Amino acid sequence: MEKNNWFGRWIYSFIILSVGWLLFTFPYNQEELIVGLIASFVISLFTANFFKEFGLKSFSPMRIIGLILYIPYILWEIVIANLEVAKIVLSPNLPIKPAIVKAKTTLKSDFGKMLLANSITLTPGTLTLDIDGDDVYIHCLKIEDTSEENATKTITAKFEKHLRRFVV
Amino acid sequence: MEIIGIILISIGVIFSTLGALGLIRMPDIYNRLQTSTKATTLGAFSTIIGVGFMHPAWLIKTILIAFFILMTAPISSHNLGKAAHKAGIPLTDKTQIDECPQKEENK
Amino acid sequence: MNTLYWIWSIILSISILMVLTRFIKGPALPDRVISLDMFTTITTGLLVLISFFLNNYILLDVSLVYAVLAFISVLIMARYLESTNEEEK
Repeated sequence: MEKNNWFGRWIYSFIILSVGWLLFTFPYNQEELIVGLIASFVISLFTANFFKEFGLKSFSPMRIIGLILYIPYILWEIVIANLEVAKIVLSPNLPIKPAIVKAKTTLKSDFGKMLLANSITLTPGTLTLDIDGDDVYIHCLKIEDTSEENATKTITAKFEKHLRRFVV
Repeated sequence: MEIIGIILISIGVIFSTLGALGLIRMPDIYNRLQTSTKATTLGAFSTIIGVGFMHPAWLIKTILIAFFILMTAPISSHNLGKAAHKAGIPLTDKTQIDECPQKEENK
Repeated sequence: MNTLYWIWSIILSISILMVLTRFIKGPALPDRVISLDMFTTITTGLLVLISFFLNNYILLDVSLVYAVLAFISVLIMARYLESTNEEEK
């Protein structure tokens, strides 16, 4: 990923902060709007140095569409997995087979790895314990085949297929 | 609108109770994290969105709160799991395999 | 509507009580932190429900701030658990 210049990063953090302010103070009035815009202008001058991976090209339409399409998919996955966990909790003899398995990821950027780990953790039944380079350590609630290939195929590849549309 | 809200809030309340039940029944820390925190996250998410549907003027604010919970819950549960694993809290007897490397250092 | 609201609140309160039993019983410190995390999440949902029933917009802001503070406190406790164990080794 090529380096974003400082101006792009500054625009990025200014837009994110302003949108956040607009959402927080939903019934608008003029004074609040002006104060919020000034505050996000000043803060973005200082914080632009920290957002190394973002810039103007984070706002390309393909990425935004990918992100918006990803949200319903992850919500549906959460509901399905929650129903399975509910079945386990309600059954009287607790049919669990826990294990900590290792899986490989092919995502390169830190932001992509963060999204992958959060998605794995949000679906019940799998919990990311650690990420070390390309290795992801996952605690599974119920898994039959604990080999690395199977874990990669059933857990990480499923999310990467969708994440690849908008992160590297 | 109201009926969608009532259904969503009922689903949320049921999942919160299931999460609390999982917290009591599961044998070790990692399984408790699995069943409880995430079932409760779905429960709170669905309750808050349901309130937004029943009171449409509040919809944006409630969606904001719900997405904040959805973003932060995995981070805190991941941190708790990592801390417990580093502390060497034992896994339950049913565990098949442990490939995470910190375990050997603790022995 | 009124009875439905009472049913929801009572079920949520019962689940909070179930979480608190784990908080009292929990064998190790991380169990208690997990139950604290769950406690705050359920309470945020209950607070939003109460704000709807009282028709009070301010309580939504309260629940937002409550969620932020709960998240930060759980993170700090996780950091604390990690650091103490490294010292013991």
